[in-house]
Amino acid sequence: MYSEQALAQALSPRLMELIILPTEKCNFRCTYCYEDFSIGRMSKQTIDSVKKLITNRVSEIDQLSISWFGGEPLLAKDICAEISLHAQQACDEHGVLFSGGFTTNGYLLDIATMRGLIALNQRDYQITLDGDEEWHNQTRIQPNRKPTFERIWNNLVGYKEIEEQFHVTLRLHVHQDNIESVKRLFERIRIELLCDPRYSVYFHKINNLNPKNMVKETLLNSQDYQKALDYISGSEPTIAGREKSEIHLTDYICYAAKPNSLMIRANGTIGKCTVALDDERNSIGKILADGTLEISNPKLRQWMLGYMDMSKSTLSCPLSTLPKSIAESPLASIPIEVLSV
Amino acid sequence: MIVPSQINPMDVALQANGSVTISGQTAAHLVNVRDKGISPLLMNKNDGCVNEGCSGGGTSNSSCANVLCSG
Repeated sequence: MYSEQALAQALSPRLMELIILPTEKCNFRCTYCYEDFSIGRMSKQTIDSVKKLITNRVSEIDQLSISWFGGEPLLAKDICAEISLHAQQACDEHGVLFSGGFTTNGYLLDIATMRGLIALNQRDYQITLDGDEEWHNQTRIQPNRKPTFERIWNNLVGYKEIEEQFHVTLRLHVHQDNIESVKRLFERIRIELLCDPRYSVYFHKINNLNPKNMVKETLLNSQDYQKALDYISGSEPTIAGREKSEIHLTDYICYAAKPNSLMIRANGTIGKCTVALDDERNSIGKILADGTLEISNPKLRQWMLGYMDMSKSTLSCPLSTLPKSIAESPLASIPIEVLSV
Repeated sequence: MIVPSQINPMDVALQANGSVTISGQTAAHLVNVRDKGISPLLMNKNDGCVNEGCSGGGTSNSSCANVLCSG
């Protein structure tokens, strides 16, 4: 059963979360990646539209959260800075709580960049490692196949110099073949980084998310994944008070199931899920030049089916049970009831 | 308490300005919850609930306790 707090946050019109993809290009070519990098930088017109959306909405909300995603968002850090500054000023003016963060590979996130982003209240960072240097450099590589671990690690250690508050979640990818490597890495992180409470670790199982190319890594089933996590980090479900993997999350409702959370792609398309980027069901509208949204509510509602039976599997990943079409949806047989309250 | 079947996606809509509107039976259920002081986040900003910044873990109006600031 979900808490009322979790449900209120998912449905509240007083909260707004924008997941913005300032570019869908990437400076990495991770071997298991599901993206095709076909869309480049966000245009000036779309940037202005996003800023207008924030301006139009800010007087009616209490909290605004921006999550930067890509591609690699720091390839377009000028766009991130421009929109963040606008949002920060608008939120300050209206007494709205503003926060933000990045899902980044960490390669371009040097200390100076981190300091600049923190000044814009962008304080949450998720950076992925695929094991220690040996394994990471086999799977998280540049387009020219050059390695990436050393530079990311040096950046990570460097953030400790920063005095301001931030949080780095180190997402450690696990598959059958890198368990020993992740164990070595976890020990290194525990000694060098976890002594600072601004760092945490979150394990995640590699999955096959690319419908066109099967990943080459040997995937773990749920039972073996649990055993691997116990082997790597012990059997406690948390590390320093935070859930340590996707199987330990409680009360989790995916952003894609929340009507107050929108993904804005680099081309101005509005979507819900950051995985199913090529799926037409995930294209629910677009942002217009004046900052208003052209939305298909019938398509939006397909992502909310989990609320009907409070299904944990559907609310935590609505893509997993998304109907193939609106006509095949359980909602197709529900009449609309009008009731004034 | 919100129980299964009380939230109907057909009652939820996203407006052109980006706001979420909730109507029908879903709104009735959620207002009922709100009136018990449980889910003030479901109220609109200007309908009587003042966010006092969480400094005391809530507000003077018990129906407006800020659920994001339990500490």
